[in-house]
Order: sequence, then C-alpha cells, then structure tokens
Amino acid sequence: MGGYIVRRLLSLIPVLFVVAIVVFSIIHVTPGDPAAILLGEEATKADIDELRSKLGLDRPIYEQFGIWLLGLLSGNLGESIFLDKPVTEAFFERLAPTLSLAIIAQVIGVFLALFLGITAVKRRGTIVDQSVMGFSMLGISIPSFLLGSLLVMLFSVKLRWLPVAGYQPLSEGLWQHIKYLLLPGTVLGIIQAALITRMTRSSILDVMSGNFIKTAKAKGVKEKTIVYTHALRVAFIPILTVIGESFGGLVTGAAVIETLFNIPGVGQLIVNSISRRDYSVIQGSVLLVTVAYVFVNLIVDLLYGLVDPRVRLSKK
Amino acid sequence: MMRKHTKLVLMMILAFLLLAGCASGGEGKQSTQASSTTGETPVQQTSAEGKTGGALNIGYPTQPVTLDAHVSSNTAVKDISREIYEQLVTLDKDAQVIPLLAESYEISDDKLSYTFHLRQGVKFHNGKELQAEDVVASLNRWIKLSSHGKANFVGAEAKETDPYTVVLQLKTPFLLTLQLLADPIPAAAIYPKEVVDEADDKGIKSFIGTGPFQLEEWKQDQYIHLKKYDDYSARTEPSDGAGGKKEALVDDLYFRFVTDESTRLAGITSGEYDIALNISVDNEQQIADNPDLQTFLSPGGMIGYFYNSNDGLFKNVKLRQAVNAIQNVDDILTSAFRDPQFYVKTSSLVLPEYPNWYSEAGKESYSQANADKAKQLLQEAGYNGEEIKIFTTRDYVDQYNVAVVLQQELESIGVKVKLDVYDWPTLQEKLGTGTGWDIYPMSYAFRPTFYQYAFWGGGAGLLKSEKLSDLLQGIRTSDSVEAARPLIDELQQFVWTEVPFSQIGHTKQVTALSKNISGFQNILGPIFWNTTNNK
Repeated sequence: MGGYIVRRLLSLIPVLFVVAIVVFSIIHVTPGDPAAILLGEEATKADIDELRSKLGLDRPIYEQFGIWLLGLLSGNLGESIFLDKPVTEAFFERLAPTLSLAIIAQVIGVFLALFLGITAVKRRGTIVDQSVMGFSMLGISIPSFLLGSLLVMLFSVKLRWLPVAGYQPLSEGLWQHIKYLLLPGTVLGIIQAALITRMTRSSILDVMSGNFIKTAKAKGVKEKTIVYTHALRVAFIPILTVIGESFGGLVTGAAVIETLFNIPGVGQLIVNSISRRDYSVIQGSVLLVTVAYVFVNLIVDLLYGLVDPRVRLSKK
Repeated sequence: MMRKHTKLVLMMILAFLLLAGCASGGEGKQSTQASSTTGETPVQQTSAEGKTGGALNIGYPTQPVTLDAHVSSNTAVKDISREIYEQLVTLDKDAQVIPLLAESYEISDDKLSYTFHLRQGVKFHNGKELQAEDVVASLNRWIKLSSHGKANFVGAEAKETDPYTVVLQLKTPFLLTLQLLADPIPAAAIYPKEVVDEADDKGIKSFIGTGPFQLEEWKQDQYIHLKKYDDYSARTEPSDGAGGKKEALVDDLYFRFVTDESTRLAGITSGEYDIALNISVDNEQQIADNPDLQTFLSPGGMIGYFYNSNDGLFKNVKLRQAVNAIQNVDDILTSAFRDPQFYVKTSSLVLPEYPNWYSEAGKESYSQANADKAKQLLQEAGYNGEEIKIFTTRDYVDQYNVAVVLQQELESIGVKVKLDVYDWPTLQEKLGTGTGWDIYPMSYAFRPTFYQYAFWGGGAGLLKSEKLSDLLQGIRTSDSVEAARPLIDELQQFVWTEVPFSQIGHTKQVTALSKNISGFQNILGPIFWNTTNNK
C-alpha cells in the first residue's frame, strides 16, 4: 500500500514536467502581454516595449523558461505581476473558496445522483425512469453559465433568498459562508449529478441481475434492504470512478462558475490571470491544479479498497 | 442502511480536506475581512438635507490593474483612483479647468512657467499636510512615467519655490498644459513625497491621497473598499463637475468586480448593488422598465474605423476614401446602439457641448452612403478583388457590431472582406505589429479636446503625415484656443480628406442606478462623492 502510494506520487514528476512545458508554451505563443494590460487601453507601443524589458519579457523564450524552471526546482513558482505577491501565496489564498465550493457541489451532486439513480432503478421502465435519464442528458448538455443565470434569476432576483454573487469566508460564520456558495454549488452539483446518475442507474441494474441478489430476494429480504445494503455497495466502485473522474469537470466548471458568481477561488484566479496575461500565476496554478487532480484520483483509488475489500491496491 | 452512504460522503469530504492539507495550511493565509457589508450595512441617521452615511455597492466590470494613477490609462484605474487622489486642477461640468488642490495659479507671459499656489491645511490620508515637496515629487514622476508626460512634457520640471508654491517650468509653450494636468487619465495625482520615493518599476506601494475617500481594503479580484476620509479638506465653492465642494456622503464605497454583465444586472435588480456600470444598450430596457431603478446616460467615447495607412492596401488614400464613402452611419449606429438616445451622430471629434474644439469642417464626407462614389474610388485605387482584413474583438460588443456592419457594406459593393475576431489582448498585439490587417473599429474614451485622444501618438496604423504632425504641433504651441481655432478646423478637415480613420460618432455610457441614489454624476467617468444612498 505504502509502496503503491510512493509509485503513484513519483509518476507525478514526468506528468508535471510535460504540463509545465505545454502550459509555458501555450501562454507564450498566445499574443498579448502583461505590459500592455498594465499600461492601459491607450498606451503606446514604445511605452509597452519599455515596460516589457523592465519585466524581463523581452528575453528569449528559452531563457525565460530556464529561469522559471530553475525557480520551480527550488520550489519557487515566481511572483505575480499584478497581485504583487508570490504565486504560491496567491494560489493558496484562493484554495479555500474553491474547496468549499467543490465540497458543496460534490455533496449535492452525489446525493442527488444516488437519489435519482436509485429511483430510476426502482421505477425501471416507467415515466419516472425516463425523466431521470432525460434530466441527466439535460444536465450534461446545459452550459453551466446558463444554468447559473437561470438559478440567479429565480432565487436571487425573483425570490431574493440568496445573494447574486460574492463570497464570505468561513470566519464570517458558517451560514454566511454557505449562503454565498449555495447557488454556485447547486449549479456545479446538478452538473455533477447528471454525470453520476447514469452510472449509478446502470451499475445498480447490473448488480441487481446478480445471483446473490436473486438469493436475497428468494430469502424474502425487503427490496429497500437489497438495494441500499447489497446492491449499492457492490455497484459503488464504478460510481466512485465516475465521481473521481468528474473532479476534473468540477475544476473546469468552477472556473466558469467562480467567474459568474464572483467567487475568489482558484478557477477565477486562473481565468483572470489569463485575461491579464499574468504568466507566472497561470503556469503555477495549472501545475498545482494538476497535482491536486492526481491526488484526488489517488484518494479515490484508495477508497476502492474501503468500499470493496476485494480490491488489492498493492497488487497493482 | 444509510449509515454506509453517510460514511461515503464523509470519505469524500475527507478527500477534499486531505487536498487542503497538501496545500500546507494555505487556508490560514485567508485574510480576514474588515467588515461584512454585502447589502447589509446598517443605515445611519438622516440629516435635514437628506440621508448621509451607509454604503454604496457598485457592480463594477473590471478590476483595476493598479491603483497607481500615473502609469496606466486603464479606465478602472481612473474611476477608482480619482476617489482617492486629487490633482492641482480639475475640470468643471463644461470641461473647463478649475483649481482643486491649488488655491490659484498664474501663467507667465512666455507661457513657459506655471505657478501653483497650494491650499494650506489640506491633509493626506496618513495625516500629513500637503506641501510643495509632495507636488514636486508627484508631478516630476507623472512627467517621467505617464503617457501625457512622455508625449507633451519632455524636459519640463516642477520646482518648489516655498512650502506652498510650485512652479512647473516647460521647455516649450504648450496650450493644453492645464487641460492635461486636470485630465483624469492618466491623472497627475498628488501623492505624498515618501510614497513617490518608495515606488519601484511596478508602481507605488501605498495608496495615499487627499481625496474624500481613502483605501480601506483591496481584496484582489473581489472588491475594493474605500472609506470616507473624516479629515478631508473640501473646497468651499459649490460643486461643479469634478471640482468645487466634494463631500463623501456615504461612509463606505465598495467597488465589487463583476465581469459578467448579467450578474451585474441581477445584482442591481435584486438590490444588492446600488449602482451597476457598463450596462449594454441591449439591456437598458430592463432597467427602464423597472420602477426601482433609473438609467443614467453619459458621454462614452468616440468610435471609428481606423485604417492601416502605413502598410498594405490602405496606404492608398483612394481606398480609404472608398471605404469612407460607402458608410451609412445611421445603419452602423443603429445596429450597434439600437436607439438614438444611446449615440450622438456627429462628424466632429469633439461633442457639440464643448464649442472650443467642436468643428464641422469636412462634414460633407461623413456618412455619405454613396455606393457609386465608393465603386468609382475603388476603381481609381486599382482595387482588384484583394481580401480586406478587418480585425476586431467580442470583448467590446460595440466594436464587434460596427465591424460586422462595415463588412456587409463593403461586400455589397463587391469588396472581399475577412473578419478576424480575437480577444482584446491578442487584438492589441496583432494591431501593434502594424502589418497583416487593414481596418479595425476602435472606441476611445471621450475627451473634451481632440488633442487628448491617444491615437495621434500611438494608434496602430495611424497615418504618418508631416501635415498632421505640423497641425498638432501648431495647436500645441498656440497661445490660446482662439488662436488655435483655424488649426482645429484644418485638422478636422484633414481627417475627412486624408481619412486616417472614419469617425462613426460618439457613444453613450449606460449606468444603472437604484432609485435611492441621488447626486450621482459622470464627468469623464463616474464620480461617487456628493452621491447619496437614501436606502
């Protein structure tokens, strides 16, 4: 088990290296640069060139990459041009809102998906089943900003129950914190649920045709017990995989949703940094998100063992 | 039954917390907020004249890139920093220069020395009294770093005569000296000397001015919170434009950065924001139909098609004249701005409200909508079906809309057009190379004198012409606006004859206000002093 974790972590290194090169290249071939943005809409080319040279942006690309890579090896992700602080500090400041949002979204998503998936199984072939499948198709295809706008129109503008946008840290109180994250969390949660529902339904249906379920039925075990205790446990492994994989969607979804709801999370940081061409922040944040993504997948893999003792991670 | 289910959810939560753990206690770095006031500020007492106190929550479209007013021509920098800093002089409602931090000023007969007598007892937000050394340090930095300074004040220097007198010594006479010192973009803001001394290449480190509001907190990418400055030294004259008596009538200003317009609209509709800026004309109807809101219109900017006059096909003036001849300004403006209340149809670079610089010279070449003439000019230009590239961005919808109309107009007379759409930073870079494109629509923030438009010095592809330089130079060195008048008309005529660009008209900026807001003004941008929230 320990060896497995170490191996997984070591495999991170080449992944990060490739990500570093790709991100650096993409950013630097994209036109536009921080100097022009810093000086404003009406700056002249001469002024921009002067600032570029002050910021070291006129050096050859390979030299800039070398400098950044050397910093990287010593654990220094560089300084943000606009935020006037180290990239790591900027990133970790933004982690709390994103984590809260991800947790709320994942909780809403998993509960909704399990409820809908199980309901669809119980009412298989009925209109309810069809509706659940319809919902998950809709959820997968609806753009998150559209869903977000619709929920804002309903809950913030019409009913005035929840704020339109913004963020309050946990230090302002749990309810304040959740109040601001409920709408964006619901948007992401619905999209997550759409992804997980189908897998829940098909996975449980698969298991329900198994012999041990037939035996349980023959023994007169209540259907509720069969579904929740026997079937769900076995069916959960593929569901867990989808949950793990959908984390990636959660990160990208968060970028859109945080921007729409003005939540100062990692997603918004990356989006804003791209629009202001804050190179070091984009590079550093994408690397750190990659690390987080690998970690979450690792944790999901470790959870398999807890859900299903037959999984022997050490054999992998 | 549900026990395992719950266990699993707990596992998921644990997984995320582990992730937080690998973030080495980053959460602890979350700075605590000074106060929580999202629409929940307790309202204070009502005075006889109206309510004071409370807060203004402003849904603002972009975060400023810096709060160093000297270095950037970014609109957000201007709008927020002018609440914090002040200048020696400012503009009244007719865009005439009036003193602000200066008590008075004199200009020498040779127009080379501007002597400013400072008001006494004016305090910076750090409690220090404003004196000549602060003005000298700030002005000299502005001359060195700002686009205005670099373009117009080379060799000029501010010097202290006594603690309350500063002389700005110019190398050559410059008609617009005071106008530029009063211009909010890039503002000749007066900082304390020590702030100037500690500044580095990236700008100043502390944001201290003499304005009615002081910086309380800047939460990156979320909001900037300004607080009423209790020791603000107001002038005694009645309020006039950006000058006269300025008073912070609310205790707190929150500029909340909301890039998404639909969110700004939702926020002003639900009452979370008291003011929402940059509302598109398409959404204005929503504001007008809502009894709790009011629409505020103000000059936005001039918008025009700029040609690549130095490279490629459009070096040929006939081709520029051809494109100019086909333009039907009514069609273009209506398509981009829907309704005449949202634009001003004029051939003049400056709005009629500013008669000193308003000029109708060359107006017969404006909005000709003459297809035959355009075809004739195309023929004379030797146009042979080459592809004309229009570059634009969707980041500024009005620019994109007018680009599409021009494309259709040109195609209607058989011109082959390719429309390339980029994001704003990419567009800036591509235009900056000076090659590979032919036309781009662009709007420039409204200025009360056309001399202040940045495109003369730095517009991509702008015609390099000795005559143009001479005209601008002639205007700069004129003794007075009256003396410059013939040159002003001549330059306006030159624009319509040589067509370095085709002006389409002037836009209006739409701001949405809650019905509770009174006293709000827009003088080259929104100003929030003398603004009351009666909520």
